[in-house]
Amino acid sequence: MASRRNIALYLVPAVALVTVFLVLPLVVVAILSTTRWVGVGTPEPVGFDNFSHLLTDPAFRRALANTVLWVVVGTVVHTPLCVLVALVVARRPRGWRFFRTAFFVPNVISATALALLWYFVFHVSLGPLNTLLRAAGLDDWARAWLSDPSTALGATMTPWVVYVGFGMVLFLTQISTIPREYYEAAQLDGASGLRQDLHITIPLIRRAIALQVLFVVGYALRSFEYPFIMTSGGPADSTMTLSLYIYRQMMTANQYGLSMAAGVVTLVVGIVLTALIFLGLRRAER
Amino acid sequence: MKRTTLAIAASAAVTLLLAACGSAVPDEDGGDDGTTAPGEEVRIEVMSNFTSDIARGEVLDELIAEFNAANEGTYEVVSTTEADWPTLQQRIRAMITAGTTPDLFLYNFNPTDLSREQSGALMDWSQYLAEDPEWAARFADVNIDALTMDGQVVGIPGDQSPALVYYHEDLLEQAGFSEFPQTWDEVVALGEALAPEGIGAMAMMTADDAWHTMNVFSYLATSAGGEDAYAPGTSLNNDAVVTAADYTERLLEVSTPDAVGANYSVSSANFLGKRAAAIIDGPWLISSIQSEVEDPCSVKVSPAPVLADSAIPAGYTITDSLNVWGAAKQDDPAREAAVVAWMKFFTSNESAVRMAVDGEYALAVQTELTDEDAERASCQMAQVLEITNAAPTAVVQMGRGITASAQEALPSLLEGLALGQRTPEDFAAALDEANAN
Repeated sequence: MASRRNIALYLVPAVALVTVFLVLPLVVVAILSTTRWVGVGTPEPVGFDNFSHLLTDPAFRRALANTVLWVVVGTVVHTPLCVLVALVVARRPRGWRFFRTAFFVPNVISATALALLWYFVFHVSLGPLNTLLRAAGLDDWARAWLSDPSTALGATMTPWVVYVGFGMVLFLTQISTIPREYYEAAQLDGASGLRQDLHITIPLIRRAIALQVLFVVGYALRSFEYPFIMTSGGPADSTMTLSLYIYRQMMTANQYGLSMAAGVVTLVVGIVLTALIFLGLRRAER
Repeated sequence: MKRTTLAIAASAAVTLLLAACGSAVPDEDGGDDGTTAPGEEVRIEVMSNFTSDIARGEVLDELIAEFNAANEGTYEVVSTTEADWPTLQQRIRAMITAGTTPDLFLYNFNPTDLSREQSGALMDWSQYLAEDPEWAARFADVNIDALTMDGQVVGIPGDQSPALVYYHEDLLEQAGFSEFPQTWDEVVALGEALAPEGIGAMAMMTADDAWHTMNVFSYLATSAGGEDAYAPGTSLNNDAVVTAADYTERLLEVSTPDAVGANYSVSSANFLGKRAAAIIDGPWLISSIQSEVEDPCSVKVSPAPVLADSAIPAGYTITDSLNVWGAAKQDDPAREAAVVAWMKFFTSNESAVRMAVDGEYALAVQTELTDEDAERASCQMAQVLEITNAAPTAVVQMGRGITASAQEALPSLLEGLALGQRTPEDFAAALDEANAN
């Protein structure tokens, strides 16, 4: 009995913090999502009007679709790239320490600074990308990457996709826990390096892959810096994300209720995607 | 009950917002925490975007230091700044709702959103203006009228900067123009002449509030439809807006290649770096011209062009929104006296001249420059004052008078127009629809 009381006491600080900084804000967001409020005065209850408005707002639909695309690209492009780099670095080729550090460095640089850097990389007249294309005689390929709706979204995703440092470190950590005997036995059976990766390493790091995908979902739902700084969500909302939509409704349109409703939708999308990942992981475990 | 719940939720949201903003709540010296004891110094907080690293911020700091020295032991003014204008505005909204309205704060007046003025948290200046007709006469009647609600004057006009054409004289000469074009068709021709050199006619932008582009748009709309082309309550789905959209599309085509998606800093850098021949901006650009252009006085100032069959005579000005000094309603007469004393000092002719000449920032008060002041003013500021004084009329820029929802939709609509996804007619209809929300 005393032990249960002690456990409860240990939990009190954490429960209090979660209640104050997570549960209560969520309740406030949920309540305000059913109001019309310009940030001054008393909110006016409007039921589910904000949610109806979201359904008919092309900018929100675009933000939702783009956010889902961020998740897809993060899962099917970024994560495999992280795995690939981790597999290569784990073999400790010449200079592996340098490459491990070089790949990780962008993760300790402010995303705002990186977004500015990539803004200039893709800039139509000042950017090195177009300069290189022209120098290579590929003038037709040079374009206004950030102002062209067909390339702007890809351009805003590029930095995130190519910065594989965090995922790489996550996978390297997991790979280092795999007993060497598994590989020695496979080598005795004549398994190639590729076979060893496919049949030993990747299955044994599946939990880390699931964790990485969870991080990807979290990041995609919060993706803000790159579209905000590189394109401001344009051109014509083509790079709008849910986070940016929430920001604009609150900071520009003063539509706090609508902004909160978009926040609720983001939360629901996050819960659904997280549940799907856990479901997938559970099936893979069977 | 439901109303109480919502009010609590709103207060909780504001508290969270303020927590996120850091120490946005003034300390006990700066809030409305009772009356001041006799002989006690009154400390008031002035909140603005006049940061110390820009010319007007430097002048504000100097003025505050002088005011504090002259009123030592009686009043102390403290400046609190937030460089980012939208963040400043949201912070002020949050503080009004939380009941911690700053003693004095600069905000953008928008006749389509009177939530701050109607919050009941703002001080009424009518008595002080009535008691001091000389001070009241320093402000334009039209501005005081706009700020008068139910007999109360809810703020003091702060500034209303004219948006004028700044242009590189040498680039225009290079294109065969001895002065800035008189009509918008000639501006399009200027753009076509400069295009082979990789130079845009006008520096334009579509991100954020699309300020530079909306200045062009507002001149076009008013030239096509007169002063009331987009007045509050007017349908924006009209011929003037369609004409303005048509010309804006053409001008975006002959602007810099990064105009679509550009923000204020990109657009103004394009002008300062001579990648665009001209820009329509406020006088705050002058300090950048003075510091960044090799030969600053080669940048000239001009009234904006008009359409061939303009509804308004040339020479008029489009202005930024009227920025207003609001003040917290005070329970303490001593604090209220301090707020009034500071505002009278800040809006005096001497302060206004220093703001205009040294701060490159014209206050919305009568500003009489001596010959010596005029000589001290930068080459552009002297032209700005001359053009502004000669202007037959002034109209507030369109982006500043439409609803917040329409402001939010503007970047996307302008980009759709520039990319050919929307016709000028679609643009006008969509903007009108957004403005109705």
